[in-house]
Formats: sequence, C-alpha cells, structure tokens
Amino acid sequence: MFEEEKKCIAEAPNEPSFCPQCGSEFILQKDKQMCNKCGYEQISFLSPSIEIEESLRQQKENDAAKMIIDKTKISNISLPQHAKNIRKMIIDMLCCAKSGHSGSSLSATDIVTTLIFDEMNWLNEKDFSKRDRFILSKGHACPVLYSSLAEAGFIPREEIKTLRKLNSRLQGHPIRSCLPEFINSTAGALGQGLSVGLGMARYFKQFKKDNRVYVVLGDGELQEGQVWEAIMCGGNCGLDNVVAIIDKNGAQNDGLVKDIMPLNPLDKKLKSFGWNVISVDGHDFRQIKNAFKIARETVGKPTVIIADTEKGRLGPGKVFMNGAHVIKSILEEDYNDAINYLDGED
Amino acid sequence: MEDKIEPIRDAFGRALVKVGEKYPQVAVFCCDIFTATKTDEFKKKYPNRFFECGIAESNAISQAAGYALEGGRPFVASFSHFLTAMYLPITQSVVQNGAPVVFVGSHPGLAIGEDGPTQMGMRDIAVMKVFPNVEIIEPVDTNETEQVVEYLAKTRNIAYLRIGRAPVPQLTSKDYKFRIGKGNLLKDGKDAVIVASGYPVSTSLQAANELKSEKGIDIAVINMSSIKPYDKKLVLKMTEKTGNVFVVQDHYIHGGIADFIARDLLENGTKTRLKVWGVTDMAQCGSRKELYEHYMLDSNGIKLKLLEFLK
Repeated sequence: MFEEEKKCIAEAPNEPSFCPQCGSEFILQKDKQMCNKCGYEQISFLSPSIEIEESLRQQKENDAAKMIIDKTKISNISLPQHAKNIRKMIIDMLCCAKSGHSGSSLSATDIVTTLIFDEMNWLNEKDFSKRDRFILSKGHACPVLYSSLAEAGFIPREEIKTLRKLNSRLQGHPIRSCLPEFINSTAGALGQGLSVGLGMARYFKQFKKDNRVYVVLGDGELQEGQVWEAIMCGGNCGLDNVVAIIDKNGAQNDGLVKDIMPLNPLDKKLKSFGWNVISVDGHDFRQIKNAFKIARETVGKPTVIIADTEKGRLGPGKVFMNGAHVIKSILEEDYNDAINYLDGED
Repeated sequence: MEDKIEPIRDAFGRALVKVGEKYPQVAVFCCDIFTATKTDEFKKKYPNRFFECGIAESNAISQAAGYALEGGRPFVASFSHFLTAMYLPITQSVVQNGAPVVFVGSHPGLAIGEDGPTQMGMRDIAVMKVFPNVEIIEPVDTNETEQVVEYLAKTRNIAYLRIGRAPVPQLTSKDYKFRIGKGNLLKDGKDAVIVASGYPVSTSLQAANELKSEKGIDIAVINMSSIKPYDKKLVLKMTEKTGNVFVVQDHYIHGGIADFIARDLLENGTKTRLKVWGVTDMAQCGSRKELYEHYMLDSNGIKLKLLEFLK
C-alpha cells in the first residue's frame, strides 16, 4: 500500500460509531464492526484494501513454509512444457467440474504461460505491491489462470479439482477476494478489465511505481462498448505501462466472430486509437516474448498485442472437442485422446 | 441555525480541495461535467490527480475501481442519473471487487428543473441500496457536506454520495458532528415524525413549524443523511413516541429510504401508521419551484399530505 496512505489511515482517529440497530456507541475495530451490546455485525463495511493487506500478510506467513516455490525446478522447464502441463490441468479440472469454457482457456494458454513464467515478475517478486498486475478480462477462461497458478506452485495442484465447487477459491469466473494476489480483478461480465487495468496503471504512473499491467481480452469481448471507451482513453493518455493482449480465437458463444460482428481490420482500428499494435501468432512463444519485449521498450503509448489463436488448441493441428466454447461434460474418449496427445508430444 | 443559503455542490467542491491536500490518495475521475459537479477547483489545484474520462461513465467507474484497488481513494463524479445507470461496472468492477470507490451523484431529484426527467436522479437510491457493502449518504446542508467529504476521504468503504443542486439553508448547528448510521433530530414532536434526506428536509421542517403555529400539531423532523446504514434506533424510538411515520423522498416513491423503514417497522412488530411521499410518475420539466409545487414536495404540499395522513 502507498506509504502516505498507510500513514493517513494510521493517523485517522478511531471514530466513535453508533450501532444502527440499538444505537449504542462502539469503536470501529480493524477486523470487524460489531456492537458489543446487541451483537449487530455490519457486513464488510470496512476497508477492503486493509482486509486484503491483512489476509495477504497472514497468507504469506502461513504459506511460506509449505508453499515455497522451487524456482530451480520451474526454471528448468521450458515454456512449451509448462504450457503442455497447464493444458493437461485445464482438461482435468473441466472434467472434474463437468462444465466450463475449454475453448477459450486452451486458446489463451500460451499467452498466459508466457506472462506468468517469463514476462511478469510474479515468480521473482515476493512483495505484492511491487508485482506486475494481471487481469483476465475474459474471465470465463479462468481455468487457464488457475492451472498456471498450480503449475507455478502458487496454489496446491489438488485444488484445481475444486473448480466451480461450493466454497472453492476457484470460482467459475475469477473473484478477486478469493485469491487477491493472483486474481487482480474480478471478471466474468465482459468488457471491464481494460478499464480497471488503466485505473491501476494511472495509479502506478502517478506514484512513480514500476509495476506493469497486463490485460487479456477475447476478440468477441471487443463487441462490448466499454472496451472501446477504454481503448480511446488508453491511447489518449499514453499509458505505456499497460499491455492489452487480444486472444483472437475467432469464435464466440453463438458462432464465429466474422459472422456475428466482423472485426477486421482490427490492427488498423487499434492503431488509429493511438495504440502500439503488434500482431503475433498466439501459439508461437518466440513471437509472443518478442512482442512483450517491444512493449517494454515502447514509450508514451500503450501496447496491444493481437494474438491469432485457435479455439481449443492442444497442439499443431489438434483441437479439443472441436474447439467448443462451452462444454457440459467430457466424454472419456475425448479426455483420453487429449491427454494421450499431450503426453505423447513429449 | 444560519440564514446562509448555498447549493451543497459548492461546499462539496470546496471540501474536496481541502481533503485533497490532506490525503494524497484522493483523486477525481470526471465524466465531462466538472463545472456541474464542482470538481473544477480540484482540477486546478491537483491536475495530476484529476482524471478526465470524457463522456464514458462505465470506463470512468472501472478505472476508478482499478485505482482504488491499488490504494487510491477515487471520487467518480457525474450526474446521479447517468452514474448509477452504469450498473454492470458498478456491480463487478467496484462492488464485487471490493474497490473502495466513492460515487458522487449530483443533481438528484427534481432540482435540475428545466432540463427534465432524462437528467434527474430519480432512481439512484433504489439501485445503489441493494449492495450489502455500499454506504449511501445525502448531506442536508453545506456544513454537513464538508464533514461528509472529510469522512469519505479518510475511510475506505464503498460509498454513494448524493449531492443536491438546490440552494439550502443551514440546518445543522455548528457543533453538529456527522456520524455514519446516525440520524439528526432537527425538531422534536409528539404527533408524528417526518423522516427525510436532502432537500425535502428543509421543506419538511418548514411544514412542521407552520403546522405547529397554525394548528398546534406537533411534528418531529429527522434529517436522515446517512441513508444506508440509516438510524434505525432513532426511527423506532420516534415511531413509538408518535405512532405516525411520514417519509418524504426527492426520488421515485418506490425504492427510497422508506423501503428500509417500512421493512424494519414490520419486522420489529411496531404498531404504527406509515405514509410515504415522493415522485409518483416519471417526472417532467419545469422550474424548480413549479416542480416541487406540482409534486407536492414543497412545504405546502408536504403540509397538505401530512394533514391528509393525520386525519
């Protein structure tokens, strides 16, 4: 948290407050707001950020011993191998959940893998306030995020089986309060992630912090008007600490993007809004890494990477369940076929 | 009480500049409306903390959410009607993210007058009150406004601040101190109690004073600036004392503070009579005076409605 603000909060006197139920005076406590007399408890009326800071601190202490990331082990694994492990976990977790968005998760896998294992400073930076921020604006693709977290050792591998289950941290669409360190913004209703990212970027610029903000959007998501409000704003503000990645897999719920609401020429559109536009093959790690490198070197304007991808991609020429957008259940033969393919590719 | 008459938004603009100095995390996200929301002084003083987002409220709200999540305390200011219409970003980017944003909705109720119903914040409380973790505050005069802005700057709850446009007299005393969840009994009485917030508080008070001198009817008036959480204890106490509750809202008749009060009175099993008064149709344009008169929300209208209720 920003130092000045910490000071302000610390200096703010403990205001006497009054119970809305019985009216007796009670002091705002840091952890909860509860009336000593009648027991009335106010629901989450305290600072979310203080709450989060506190829970993060505790989480760090608790997890420090058992969850230390073995960096040597991770750094020995190549990006394609990580991606393969992540794809296997995506299929596993969707199989357990019996529903979810396989196509979008698998198309974004190579992008998210590159971000978490190469581009962002998540593995090397223990201090949350200094970490880069990641927003999966196309929240329905969250299995790829959860699997990446498990692959990196940020969450236990067994936990992926709790996807979409009651009381799980791995909600069907990502909820920040479940894993605030890794889900930097709640998503699911499309179109908002880029705006949230711009707000974070403005904060980092204003307080001269080096954090960078990465937002992954879908191409169907670009039909949301708010995305274009954010694109207009981002281009005009020159926020060069923002990178938007468009997972252009060409398909959405009702069919193909080119039939429903054609986007092309997307690069020209984005360029005309003042963004640094880079088009890449979204399954070519070399190209993706290079695009991030160019984004880092670009000063004075935000970068958008248009990543051409394949919905449901398992590997070259191989897609999972015809690249379906939503799946209800996975047949054993589809599951075996996919896992065998991914194993056999080694 | 003083005779000074000033629109609340002027005091808001002033107070914001003041807290801006004390709290470096305070910022303004504006939607092409800084002269109307009176954030122009803040812009002049702190240009690097004033973010003009243009006529794009959704983007402004979500950006403010991102800014708040990192530690800032953004005030997103626009017309209450436009701001609270961006319900999906409010719900997901702010509320579900737990991002401590302050929404500042100006021009609530009929006060915008000639501009008509497409500019009037008539259902803002109705849509903002459903969230479990959002405070709603509507200060009654400039003195209270300054205190509320200070309160909002130093706390980190999600809040919706409703600031009126009509010039209002000072109703709170110099030693009054705003507290969240606390109502302010401006006038005691034994025959009925009026609960109101914002502009109708002054007209209700006038109506109560006139009824006292003209007919000897003794009506209490509560300024409920803290709409959520509201002062349930005070309302229950005054209800038990008077047996008649009259709620006045410069808002559609449905969805205002009366909903909380009616529910709590019923749940509590309080024996009472209840009357809610507000705008009953889609509203229309006219001068401010004409509108409050037409919708019977001026002191005369409130008086007539009260007499009808107490018959």
